[in-house]
Order: sequence, then C-alpha cells, then structure tokens
Amino acid sequence: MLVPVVKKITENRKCFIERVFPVGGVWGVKEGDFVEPFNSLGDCRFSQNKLSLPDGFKPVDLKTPSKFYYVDTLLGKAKNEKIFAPYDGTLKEIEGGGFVFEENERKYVLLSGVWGNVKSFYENMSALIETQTKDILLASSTKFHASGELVVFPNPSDVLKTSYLENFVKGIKGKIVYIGDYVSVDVVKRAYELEASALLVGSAHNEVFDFAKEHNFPIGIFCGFGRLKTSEEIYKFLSSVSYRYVFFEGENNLLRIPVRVEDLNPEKEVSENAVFKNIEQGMTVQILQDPHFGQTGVVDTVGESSIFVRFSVDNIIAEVRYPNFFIVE
Amino acid sequence: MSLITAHFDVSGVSFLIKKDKKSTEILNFPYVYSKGLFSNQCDESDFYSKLLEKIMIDRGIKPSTCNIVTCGFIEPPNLNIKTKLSVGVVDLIEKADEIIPVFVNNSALITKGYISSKSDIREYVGAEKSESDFGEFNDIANAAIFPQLVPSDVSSQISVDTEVYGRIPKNLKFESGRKIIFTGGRFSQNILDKELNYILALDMLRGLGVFNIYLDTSNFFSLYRATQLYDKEMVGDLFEYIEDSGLFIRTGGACECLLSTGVGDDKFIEIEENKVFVLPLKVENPAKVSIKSRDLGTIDLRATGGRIGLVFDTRASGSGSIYSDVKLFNDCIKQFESVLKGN
Repeated sequence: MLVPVVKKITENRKCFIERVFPVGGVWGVKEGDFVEPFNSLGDCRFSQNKLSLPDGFKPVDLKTPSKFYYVDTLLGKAKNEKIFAPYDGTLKEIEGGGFVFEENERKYVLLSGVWGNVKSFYENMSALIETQTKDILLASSTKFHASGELVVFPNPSDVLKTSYLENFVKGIKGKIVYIGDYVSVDVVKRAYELEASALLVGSAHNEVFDFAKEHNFPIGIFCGFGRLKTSEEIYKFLSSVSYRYVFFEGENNLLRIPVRVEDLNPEKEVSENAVFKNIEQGMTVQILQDPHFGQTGVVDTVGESSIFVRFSVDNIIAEVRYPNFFIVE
Repeated sequence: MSLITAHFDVSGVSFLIKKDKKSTEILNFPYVYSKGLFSNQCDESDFYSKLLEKIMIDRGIKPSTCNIVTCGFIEPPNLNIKTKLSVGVVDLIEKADEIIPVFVNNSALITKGYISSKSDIREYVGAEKSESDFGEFNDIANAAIFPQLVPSDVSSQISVDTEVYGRIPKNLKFESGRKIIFTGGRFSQNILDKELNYILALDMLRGLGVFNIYLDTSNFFSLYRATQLYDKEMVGDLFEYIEDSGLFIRTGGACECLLSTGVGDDKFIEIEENKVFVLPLKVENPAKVSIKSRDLGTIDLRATGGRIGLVFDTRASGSGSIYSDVKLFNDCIKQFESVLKGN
C-alpha cells in the first residue's frame, strides 16, 4: 500500500526573506553583513496611524483645510459624542467630504527579523536576506502575505478567545496570533478589528474564510475545515518559538519561522527525503475519516484495503480505509 | 523496452505497467498532489515524477529503458521525466467509436459531445446556510485540501453522487444497443458500498432501450486508448480489465420479459412501472431474452449477462433521480447488494 508522506514542519536551509520599508528609508547595514532578528536594517519616517472620522463628524475650530492637534485635545463631535485626538497629529478634510486624523510622522526602525546575511538591496525600499527557517505547512490559507511577532495562545476555550485577544497585555495589533484549535467567525472579526497582522488556527468553518477573503485578512489553518485539534507537534513547536518575528506566506501555504543555523538538524543526520512509502506497522498516520478526522495515530495492523490505527487517547483501535490517511513525519 | 502509461485524475492516478510485451499490471494509486499537503516538499511535477520513479524502482524497471505515456483529466500534468506521448481525456473519449465512454469524477462528467463541469456549491447545498450545513460546506472545503478523500458512509457518498447526477446534460441521450463504459475517478475510488456504482450508472442512462454496461474501476479505458495511440501492439483486448456488468434495460413503463437459458428453467417476469428490477444472470451460452413494453415494442436478443445480470428500469423518461425516491433507492441497494454478495 503506497502512501504519500506529509511533513508538517520542514527545515529550509537556504531561503531568502525580503524586508521592506513602508516608505523610502536609509540603510544602516551593507551587503554581506550578518544580522540577527533584533538588529536594525535601517529607518524611515512616516505617519504610522490614521483615524477615519465617522459620517456627521463636526470639527471644533477648524478654519483651514488642516490643523495640528495635541494628543487628548478635542477634535470635534459626531452625534453628540466627543472625539479626542488619540495621538499628536493633523486633522484634514478630504476631497468629497469627511475627515481623517493622521498621526505625526515618527521614526520607523526596520528590524531584520531573521538570522542571516544581507544579500542585496533594492534602492532605498527593500533588502534581501539569506537565512534559514523552519516552515509549518498550512492546510489552507488566504493568499496574503504578513509578518509580525508570533503570539501563541494556550488553546483557550471558545468563550475565552475574544477575552484573550482583547486583554493581551501588549495588544495584538501587528501580531500574528495562534488563536487555538478552532476559531469562530466572531473571533476572527474581533481580531480583524484589533488589527492583528494574521491569524493562525487548527481549524475553522468555511465561513471564516469567506470573511477573511472579503477583508483581505491573512488566516491560515493547520489541519482542515470543521472542528479539528491542532496537532501536538505543531502546537509544541509554536509554543517554543512564541514572540519570535515570523512570516506568513499565504500564497505558498507556509508559516516561515526564522531559526539559527545551530537550531537545524545537522546535515549528516537528515534522513532520506522520501515522498512515498509503503505503509508499515508502527508508522504515524493522520486520519481523514470520521469519527477520527484530523487525528493522528500509530498503525497497528495493515490489511488489504484498510489499516487499523491505535490512538493514544483511550488506546482504542479503529479501521481506516485506504486512502483516507497519510503517513506523517 | 518497458512501458508505463499513467492516467491522472482529480482524486487518484492509475497506471498500466508493462515490464515487457507479455506482462500487464494495472495499479491504482488513490492520491493526488495537493498544495496544502505537499507544497513544502515538492511541486506538482516533482510529486508525480517521484511517484513514477518509485513505481519503476519497486518493479526493477530502469528509468532509462522505460517509455512513459501520460493522459489525464483534463490534461495530464507536466512531468520532470521525458514522456513519449501526452493526451487529454477529452480527446480519448471523442475518438472512441465502437463504445460510448462516460467519464465521471469529482469535477466533471464527460461523454462524446458533452463536458459538464462542477456546479456552484451554494446551489448544491442551498443558498441559505444554516448551522447544519456547515458539515456539508466543510466536507466540500476539505475535499479541496484532501482531494483523494473517499466518503466513509453511505449518506456522504449519496451527496457526492447526487451532485454528479445534477451534472447530467438535459439533452443527453444514449442509443439503444450500444456498449457504454462508465469510467473516471468516481468509479476507480475504493468506495465502501459498491452497489452505489450501479445505481449511479443506472441513473445516468438517458434514452430508452437496451444498453451493454461496463464498469471501469481502474481507468483502464483511458490507459488503453492512450497506450494504443502510442503503440497499437502493446495492448490487447479493451474489455480484459473492464467489468462487464450486464444489460441495463430502460423501458419507460411496465414491461414483460421472457428469459430462456436453454436448460429448461424459462422465466417469465412482469415488471410494473416505476420500478427497478435486478435479475442476476451470468451464463457462458447466451440466453434468449424477449422484452415487451409499450414504448420499446418487442425486442428479442441473446445475452450472457454479467457481474450484475439484467437490470430493468421501468421508470418513465424524465422521472427524477433514484436518490430522491428513498423507497426506490433502498430497494435498489438491496437488490444490487444481494447480487454482489451472491457473486
């Protein structure tokens, strides 16, 4: 029984990561320099926050097309609600009606995010760094790119997920958040409102993807659609790299996690990279058949057109028909 | 020189392997490339090239001495290995003269002159999504990640087959007396309840008359035709690896049948309208069969039967699907199950 081998986490010994300024900047490194994740590559200045004011907003004391306001000063009112400046910035009237409040330009430092060598620059916009990563395969993802600090929640129950998002000490804005085994559309909406950079989850209903696609929101699922548990291997690995700067590549179904060279297995010990193997007793398999859909177990017996799989939970054995399983390594 | 012909479908790959001119091996590999599963290891070309290499190595075939022919739905993928011939399944179907192939997989239905593709899933599940529909939507979404999935229960398989039924073109009609081969990924999948294959085949027949039905569970039709295009001498009889299921008779109303096997046990059968009746028959010497119905008139023929035998369908033309009539569906399941267990 020939079966493909799925490798959820793979090592990438040589890859290139592009780091991009939001606007043109000044480089602080040169080609060939070795950088670590918290090393600065350079900096630029731009307005990093923008507040669109609601319809019916009436500014206070705005006699010119734009005006500077200090933080916490009154900007105006919308339906009797007073709106104060959330930061130092400029209130501007926009063409076609309406107002925006733009934060003052601030210095933005572009961090390397990876361990590697600066390979090349594209003008004053982006740098290419040669590095190494461990990649987690996403079973499905929206086709967007994002990067940010990885926040790993400890698989909270459904009722606690929103609370985790809202009360995360440092705020989840700009972060890539592993939210748990399963996520509902309400939690995804909240994460989107709180400006998370991307969301990672074990499984989700189809409608979560509809929302994410509609709002260009990066989301990746590790196991499949429905209510499936994130595999122990993935969860443990994510927990071990929590707060690291990571790269979500939706187009490639990958979450790239930068690592040090010494974190990779020595090249000599890397086993043969077989994509297909004949199924044998003792192999670990992922099941794609109800009621064990998404779970992993160990092959107990190989039959003619099915296998018997032993699960660690309760030590039960179930028959799984060929081809509703994969070998997992 | 060895030869491997590969047929690439949406849920699996089938192979015709000839180590030499005399030997023939048919192999079904029920998996396909999926980005969400293998993109961190290889791309599609690499995946299938490695699969072919593995098959050659396991059989002691040297890649340098093996000719590769590929065919597939709708076209075969590009490989990193040099191929002698690559052909799409539509070309193979259109060039079939003596038989009518009906190719069915999870994405399309193809027969001579028709290609009917997948319908909108919202139309299929229903525009209004309710909590209970999540399961069905998730199944469809999971099928995109795990395209090789075979439903593990009857109701899921019925959902898949009902969707296939929905793809049948309205003006499709088969000519009475023709040999019809049901082929493609749907029939090569290792489904749990084999009787559903025959219900689907019966439900897909259009037009009244007597049809010789063949069930291709290894995509042998495509493998055979593609190999034949490359080298006619490499293949023998098309029906050697295709199951002869028997005669499926669509009368359009009540009918009478006289079956004479010549061993003194003649049978006279009356079948009322809106029924499906399965009469097991598999004999070496052709039996005489006389069928009489209002729409067909009287038909006399000789038949050896097949894996199933004779299947009478007295439903009126334009009547709905078997899947929508629970009583008829259960009756069909019982009859086909009984014949398959008896064989």
